[in-house]
Amino acid sequence: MLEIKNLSCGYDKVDVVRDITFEAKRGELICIVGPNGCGKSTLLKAIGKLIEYKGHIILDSTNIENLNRKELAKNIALMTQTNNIYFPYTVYETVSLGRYAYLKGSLSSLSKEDVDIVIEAIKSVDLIELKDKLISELSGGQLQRVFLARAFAQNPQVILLDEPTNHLDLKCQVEILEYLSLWAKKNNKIVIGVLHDLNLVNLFSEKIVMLSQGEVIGKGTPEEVFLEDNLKKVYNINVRGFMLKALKKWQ
Amino acid sequence: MKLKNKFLLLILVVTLIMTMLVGCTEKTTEMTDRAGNQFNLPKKVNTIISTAPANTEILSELGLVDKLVAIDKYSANVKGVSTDLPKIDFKNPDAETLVGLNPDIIIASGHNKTGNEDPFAVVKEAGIEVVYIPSSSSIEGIYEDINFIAKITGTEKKGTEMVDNMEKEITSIKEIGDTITDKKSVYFEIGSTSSLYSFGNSTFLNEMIELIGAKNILANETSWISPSEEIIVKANPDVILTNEPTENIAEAIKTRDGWKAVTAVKENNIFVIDKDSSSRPSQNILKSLKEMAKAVYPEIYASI
Amino acid sequence: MHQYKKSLRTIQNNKRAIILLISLMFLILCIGASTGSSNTSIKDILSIIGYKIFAIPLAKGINNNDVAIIWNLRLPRVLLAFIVGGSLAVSGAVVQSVLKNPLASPYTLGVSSGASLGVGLLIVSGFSIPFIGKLTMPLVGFLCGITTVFAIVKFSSIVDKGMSNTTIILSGMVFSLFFNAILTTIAALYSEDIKSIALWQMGSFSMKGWSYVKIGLPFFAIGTIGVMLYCKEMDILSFGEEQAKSVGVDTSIIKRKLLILSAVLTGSAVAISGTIGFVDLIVPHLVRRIFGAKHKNVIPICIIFGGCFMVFTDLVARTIVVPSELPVGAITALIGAPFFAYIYLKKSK
Repeated sequence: MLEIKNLSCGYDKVDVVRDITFEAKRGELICIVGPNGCGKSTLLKAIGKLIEYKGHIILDSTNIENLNRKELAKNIALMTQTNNIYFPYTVYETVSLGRYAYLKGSLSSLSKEDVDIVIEAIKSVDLIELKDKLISELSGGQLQRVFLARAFAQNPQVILLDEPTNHLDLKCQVEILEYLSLWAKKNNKIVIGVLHDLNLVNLFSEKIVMLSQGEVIGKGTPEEVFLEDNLKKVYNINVRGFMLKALKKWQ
Repeated sequence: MKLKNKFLLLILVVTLIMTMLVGCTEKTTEMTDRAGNQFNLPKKVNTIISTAPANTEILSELGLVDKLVAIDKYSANVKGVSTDLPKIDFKNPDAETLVGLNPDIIIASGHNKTGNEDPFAVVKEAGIEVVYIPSSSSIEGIYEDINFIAKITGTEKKGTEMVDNMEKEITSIKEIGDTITDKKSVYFEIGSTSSLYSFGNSTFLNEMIELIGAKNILANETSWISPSEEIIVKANPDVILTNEPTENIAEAIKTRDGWKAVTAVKENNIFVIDKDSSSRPSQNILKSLKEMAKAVYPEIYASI
Repeated sequence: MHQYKKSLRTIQNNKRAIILLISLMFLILCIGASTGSSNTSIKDILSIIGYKIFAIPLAKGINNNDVAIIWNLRLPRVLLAFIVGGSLAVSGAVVQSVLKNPLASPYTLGVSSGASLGVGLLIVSGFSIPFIGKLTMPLVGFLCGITTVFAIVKFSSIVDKGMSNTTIILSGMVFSLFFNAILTTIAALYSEDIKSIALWQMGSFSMKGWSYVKIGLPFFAIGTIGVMLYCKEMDILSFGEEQAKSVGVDTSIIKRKLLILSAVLTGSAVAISGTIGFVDLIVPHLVRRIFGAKHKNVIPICIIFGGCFMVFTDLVARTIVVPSELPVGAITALIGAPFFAYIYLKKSK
């Protein structure tokens, strides 16, 4: 279980996010939602220890504050948007970066176990035929799956998603979330994502944390949180009304 | 007044006025300096600024140190020069200071002109005469420099004396030098920080080497050059001369990597020559000429 | 385009390429050693080396003078040029990777301005440390260069705990400009030393000898081996700061170590031969263009390319206006810039 207790963080000594408390149980995919500027990304960065924070982040009774980078990487992995990567690595090489935290010393190479984990990860995102292709030759969706595989190869307890699929088409977005959902349930792990598309959030998450102006407005299942009033207050638009209108058109 | 007297008076007045006018314009004479520039020599030269030590040395020997109102900093050690004289940095001369000192003439050298810029342009516009004496590249040139400075300061007699004396001494050395058939090869180093510095033909130093009956290993090059170490080692000079004022310079040359096999190093023929008298084109080159002669051919020149 | 990429990958992974490069290195070293104010055949050079190291008697026709020239003057000079060129190229590659800026150069991190200021003060004061005499200048240059980089790294970490690249680059610029200003002022006050200071800055390998090789070699070895150990981390840094951290790389610590290694390499290069430019900026680009950006390729090939380039430019500097020599720093840019433009134009067609 991942517990976030009284978390506050921000930039340049100004707190963007204040006093956040929630928990994520194993097997759950949790989404953090809210309008632009509410602090979702900032919150996620703090959980990944990419920025400083006040408060506590406790993973299975270990406070992550005490973990060094490598230890942390074995427990928490991060996926962000991936545009413009021109580094001449193959799919295989990129995914094996996920094993970096497990290597002992600068000159060690991957053990048999490491190699197996990497291959498994590539297989789980259905990229095994392309494993020796240069990542600069992949499509946006394929590239995102490579980084997902890398996150899997890290074998973490938690995977954090920072709007990784904003720039991709619907199929890619759905794919990534399906992989993650499966991974969380099958391996009893946690996924915490920041996503903009409320439909995807509604469909894929077990729990939601809704933020507005740096504070928690609601947390619980989508049904509990996505109340018409809540949504109107936070998003300043009749979300439910709009979604139903759109749905009618699809019908 | 009678008409005849009036007429005489008129002629007298006119003549007086004319002589006065002519007298006014006769205060200066038009001349050419050693760089080929025209200038106007003031009738009386009582205050002089010298910008280079070679010229200051010539002025000193001509007995004119008292007329100096300012010098460059390297001239401070010239014989007879007062320690109170203001010392000016002539790479970037302050025109105001120069004009303020009100010299009758400024004797500048070739060192002061960098490129086509004339650092004294402003001073000249203020009405002060500047003459240029470019660094002479031959001993004959030094004689002409001495004569020129003597002429513009009205000390021609002393100047001629100086030149005659120099000629006499140099000729007597040359006579000995001409008798030497087995000429030693010489490398004369004038600098060695970051690169080596020496010279070829068309320099007075080269002339001096030849006068004493030796030959410069770099005689085929012209003027001042920066040779590579390889060239020197390959040329294998018999004698090495240096005028660098650094302490233990001879030892430093001896211990240079790769120079062990050079004849001059093997036979320990490395000598230090006085810096000032071998770098300033004035009458004092006689001092270093004798040092060089004795260094290269100690027995032959033992008597000079 | 596809075929180009395919052949590129063959070069990147091919053992043949490695052999080719090493042969190139030996070829350039031989040419460098045999050409000079007087040309010596490669056979004679090998004979001299054999005589000096293994006491094999000299071949006929070689006299002591030739041995002195080759062994004491040319050979150390060629090796020195290789070491310096290699150090600068590797250092440039590291700085460009760490700061993710293709225009970054170790010189902008203050090494050259610090070293120049130190050496400038030394020239002006005429000070010399007893016992080491002529090695005072490289020692002072090195210490000043390294201290400057330490100061910049420390300053950056105080201003910005995460040591972002912008902070580092700006700090470097501030320090460099400041030290340059001090040096300019000193040079103006002691105008007769301007030439010496300027000449030192322009760079030269003349009059250095084996003693310089002996001091240069350990720094070169430590620096390049140290950098090679972090090749993987440099690869990871290319994916972005956040990605690197999330995979387990402690970016501030790694960056600091790499910048210090770069400082050691550049500091010793500058100490040996003055501030020779261009190699640190352009050689890494060329190498990446031809061989790809993977650091386990880039770093060793930078050593070879940088080293060979420097040997070649020093060759030109000391033969083109014989018996005089030109400063190497002028030649590196003169030859390098058009060559670089040519490579880039050709590849983009």
